[in-house]
Amino acid sequence: MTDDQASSRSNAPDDGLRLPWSRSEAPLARRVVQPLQEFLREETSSALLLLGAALLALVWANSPLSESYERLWTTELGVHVGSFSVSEDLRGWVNEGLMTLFFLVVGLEIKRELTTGELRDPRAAAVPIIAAIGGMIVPALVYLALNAEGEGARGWGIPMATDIAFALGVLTLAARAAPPSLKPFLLTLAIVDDIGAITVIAVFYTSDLDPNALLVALGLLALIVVLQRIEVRAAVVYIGLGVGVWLAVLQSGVHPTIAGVILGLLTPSVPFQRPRAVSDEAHRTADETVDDPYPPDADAPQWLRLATLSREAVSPLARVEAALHPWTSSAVVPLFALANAGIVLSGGVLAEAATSPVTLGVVLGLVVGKVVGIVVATSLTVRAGLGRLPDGARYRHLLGTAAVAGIGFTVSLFISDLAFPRGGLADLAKVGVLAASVLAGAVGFAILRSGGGARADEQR
Amino acid sequence: VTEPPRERVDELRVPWVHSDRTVPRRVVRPLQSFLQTEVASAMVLIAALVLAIAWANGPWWQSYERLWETPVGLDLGQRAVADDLRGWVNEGLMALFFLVVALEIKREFLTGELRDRRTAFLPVVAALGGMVVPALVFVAVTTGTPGVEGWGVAMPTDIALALGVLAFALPWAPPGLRILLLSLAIADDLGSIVVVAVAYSEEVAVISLLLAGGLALSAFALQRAHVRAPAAYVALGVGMWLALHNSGFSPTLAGVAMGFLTPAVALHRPQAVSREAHRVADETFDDPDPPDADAGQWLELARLSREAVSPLARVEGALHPWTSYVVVPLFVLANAGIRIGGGSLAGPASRRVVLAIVLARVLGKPLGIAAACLIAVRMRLARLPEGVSWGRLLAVGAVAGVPFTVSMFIAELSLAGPDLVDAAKVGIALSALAAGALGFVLLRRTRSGRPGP
Repeated sequence: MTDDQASSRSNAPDDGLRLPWSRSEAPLARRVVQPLQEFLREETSSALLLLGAALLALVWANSPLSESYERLWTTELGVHVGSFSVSEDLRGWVNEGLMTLFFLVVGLEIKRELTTGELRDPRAAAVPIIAAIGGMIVPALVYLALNAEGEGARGWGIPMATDIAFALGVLTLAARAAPPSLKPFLLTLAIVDDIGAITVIAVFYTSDLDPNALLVALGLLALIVVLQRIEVRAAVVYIGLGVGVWLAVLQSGVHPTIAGVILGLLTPSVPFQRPRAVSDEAHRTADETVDDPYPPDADAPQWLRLATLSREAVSPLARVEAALHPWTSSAVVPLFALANAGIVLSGGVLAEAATSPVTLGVVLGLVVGKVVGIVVATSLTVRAGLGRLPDGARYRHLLGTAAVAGIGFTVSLFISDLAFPRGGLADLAKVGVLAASVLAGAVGFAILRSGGGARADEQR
Repeated sequence: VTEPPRERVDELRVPWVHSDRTVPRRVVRPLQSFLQTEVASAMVLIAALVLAIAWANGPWWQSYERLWETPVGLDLGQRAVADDLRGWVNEGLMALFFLVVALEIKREFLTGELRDRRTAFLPVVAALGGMVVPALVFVAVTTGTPGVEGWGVAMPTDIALALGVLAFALPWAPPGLRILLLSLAIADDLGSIVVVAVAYSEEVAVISLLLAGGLALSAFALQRAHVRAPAAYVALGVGMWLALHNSGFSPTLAGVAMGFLTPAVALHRPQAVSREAHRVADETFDDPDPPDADAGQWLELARLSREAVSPLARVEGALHPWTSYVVVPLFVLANAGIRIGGGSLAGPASRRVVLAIVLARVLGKPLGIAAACLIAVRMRLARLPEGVSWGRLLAVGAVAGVPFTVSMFIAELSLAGPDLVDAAKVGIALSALAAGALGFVLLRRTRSGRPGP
């Protein structure tokens, strides 16, 4: 019956799928929206968006409108129920609330690498793992060498981080002709680096602990594991519990973004259904539904069941990542940069920064320490026979990639605010992070381009 | 058919609630199938009512008021949206209830029983008679007292309770009877919404109203532009709710507006989606490498399958279980806890209100419905549906006299002073009991008598 209808309708104009407006031929959609979407899918664009947000923040905070910048981000936003209340300024909601989503996606990426990616077999991934460790320890040591005592010592975690989006963006931009194996190498390195940064945030930058709240958080996490075991699949349940975990961690003194990481790690990486079983159902539903049911929506239960099953053919990990990643990379992280990169550079901050050991430690740590740490650790690992350089890569490529890994940006800015009280030393550290990120990116770009240029020119 | 010993790869894995374990098989699934019946939603309401009255009059009565008067709020800088917990239920969660009501009305008028003007005529006329006569009875009894403001309380029929009484009294009622009651009650809901919007709005803040109207227009424009992301419409709905919150109108009307704006036509021809389903099923692998290599295709198919269903049916399917088993019971729990003997029935005005509601519901409603139908049929403007005799029509009218959720809602909105509101609630509870019992008895009497053609 469906086939009969299909043939009788094949001439109807609305036979095919109806495109949404954004994919239609309307001038605005074709000229503006589609190119924009295309751009946002590129790897370099999230880096550019981030850069744009940071620049906007700097310009805004140093323009005649600078007062409105601080006023906006210090606006209090609160929820209260009876005598219980959660209240923060907008910057706090971005840094501790929205950034939890960013760290949730990081947790998902780590889990995927650990279960099905490069890190599944640590011995095979020995080179990037050890390189990442070297790229964390040496910058921290460089920083501590310059800030051995005094308040500034607390900032040793700042130069340890690598900004995945930024680093991958620069690598993609610079190394069209470099070996493709550099990308998984840098990705694995940056993810191990993230694990390190998360550990640092959780362990070293935690204020006084509230054991009761911590117990509540652990209890909720245990509940999540139990519910997963008895195959409760409703996303609503886990969203509710996740918000509970976040609140408990917020009260506990541990940084609440850690809740995001743990929730990401707990997300199952295996789909609920075998794809083949869902394929059978898809054929059946397609055959049994009619094109023009009466009453309209008579087939609704079958279609909604197929929608549920198709989603269950994808692992929760991939689903959550597909749902959140566009938001974190094009909204959360740029908002974070906008809220935190706006340092007022007048009033001698720049002059102070030029001589401050904190700024200097961050810059040297990220630009020099990262490169030295990664290159030395990699060559030692290779010499020891524990692994090989990425396929087709030479030491020049390694040097360029290591420099690119010195773009600390998001997580470095993040740790700056954890290590120091707002203003003062935090601003000096942030100046260092911004300068070092630009410098490391430029140096890496130049090194990767310098030799690869010949082949790139051939292609043109 | 013999079961192969190894794991069946082509079988769907059922979640725990659908598995053959003891708890799901003996407890969860029987509960689920019970909850799908019409008797169940009525039972849940009654349970919430009993619980509220027991709580408010039991040893923990102080905790009842303390809980529902807990302030809950959201502050942004100098701006704040604050209310007590009861207010959030009545004005916030109930917006979802009214959203579902609006969806039901829209569906009935576009594709259901009320679509055809000839068959729709009788239930619409019956609903009109069933609204006007009780309101007149109410005004006649309370005239001259402050309680007269509450005439809207006497009008609405509670769909869940009425359908529950019908299903309980005549489990195999002729479909024409059930449809008559349902469409009558839905037309009645439309009337209540108009009353809430027009008669019970305080002084109106024009700017807030314009803002809400602008948001409704932009929701319409986005639909026209084929924007499909539910998040966009959820955000517009929340914005409209906030705008109405300051306008003097009940913010639940934002739910009504969004419900009426929800499209009743599927975004895709089912046939086009069928073709995609075959394609995805053929092109995906059972064991892709890397795992989730086919994720994009599956998620696309999931989206398309959802878009083969009209947004109206999707939103209704997603919200209806929540509104009938969470929102409305919470509303009843928050509002029905009247302290008996608390002095609220002492005043003459209060007693008038109780009497007026009971008379309006138990006598006015069935008489109004029957009279309106009688006139329509005598004037040859309509015919009684198949399987509906005059006796059954009167019985259905009595069942339609069962007030509850919307009446309580209008009582909170219309009456001044807690004493009058409490009196109205007592009247609502009493008349629900009386009208339900009357309808039950009348329906049972018609059970054996098969009406002629």
